[in-house]
Amino acid sequence: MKKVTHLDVAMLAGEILVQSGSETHRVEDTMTRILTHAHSESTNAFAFTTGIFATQTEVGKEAQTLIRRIHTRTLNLNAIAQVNDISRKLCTDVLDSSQALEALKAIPNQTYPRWLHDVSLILLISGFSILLGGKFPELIVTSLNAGLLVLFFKVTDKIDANPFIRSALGATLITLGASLIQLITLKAQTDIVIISSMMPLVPGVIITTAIRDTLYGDYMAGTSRAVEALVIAASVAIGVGMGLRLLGGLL
Amino acid sequence: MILQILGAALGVVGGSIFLQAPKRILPAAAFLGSTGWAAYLLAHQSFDAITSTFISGLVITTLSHLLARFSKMPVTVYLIPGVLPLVPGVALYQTVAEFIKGSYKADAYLRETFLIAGMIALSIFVVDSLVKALERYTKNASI
Repeated sequence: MKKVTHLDVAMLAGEILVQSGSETHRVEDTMTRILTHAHSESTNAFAFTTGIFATQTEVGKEAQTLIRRIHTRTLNLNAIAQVNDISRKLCTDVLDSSQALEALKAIPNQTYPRWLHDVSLILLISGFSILLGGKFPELIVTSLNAGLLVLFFKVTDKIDANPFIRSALGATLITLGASLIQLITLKAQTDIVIISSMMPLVPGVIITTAIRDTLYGDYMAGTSRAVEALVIAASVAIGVGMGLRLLGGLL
Repeated sequence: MILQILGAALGVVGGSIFLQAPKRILPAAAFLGSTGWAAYLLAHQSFDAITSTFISGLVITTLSHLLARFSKMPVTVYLIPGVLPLVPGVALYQTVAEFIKGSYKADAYLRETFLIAGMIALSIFVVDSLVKALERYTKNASI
């Protein structure tokens, strides 16, 4: 069996971090820490939002380089925390490299059961309606709207929809939903309902991370992330715009 | 205002679960969310939305660094749920709504959207840099 090197561990750690939405600075820092711990002659780690590279030169051997392309990115804070913990344990020799690799592979995709994840979306959205100064009618309409969005996400997850279409249609749905629910029920401020319902679609975290990356000097990662954020923001904007236009025609 | 702060706590806990945050940070996330939004609302009484975002960002990032130190977790884990209430959703919606109306105000709201996002990042960067400088200073002093 092939021996597990620090390079393998560093690559997997980097891959998980990028996929979990960590900032580039942290990805490179973690990879470099793991590689340096192997007492090699020279190491280099390089991360983008779409791929990672690492080179390690061990004493008296030829340089080894690995590249890994990364296609999908989500946000998973628990994975970031766990990778951090494992790399800390590796660097203080609590774990050896093969144990660290196993530990990294064992990080779960889901921290919470599916139903709690759905409920959290409703919590998030109704919390925001209060935060924005909404009162009781807004809260009711927003929660109903959030339920609609949860159902929509369930359907799109099943058919594995394109993310651009997904957020555009989601935004249209919540805009229509906000106004229609309100027509048959209560007088609520539609603005607040729409804004709080689109919170899970807005790429706020990505924009912030993009600017952080740029300020740290990771220009490539920063710009690619900024483009990603712009595309998502544009799709949400198009969706809300379609919804408002449709309503303008209906009402 | 108290109701809004409670709403922030609720929203941030929901957001943390949505972002798959580790279970043990949930109480801290509620605290961060409400403190951050309280700071924003207080600042907003005398400043505009952009400056208030910066001030609130400073408060949230400082608290996140302290919490991270205390619990030996990466700062990001606290920071990302913490800044959720500051995300420029309102400005983005106003941009679209004005754009649909064909109003020239859309430009101003678009600029506000970018400035708010920039202010969140800038406040994080300022505190990060200060913490790093402080770490270096104390390390050198002990040698």
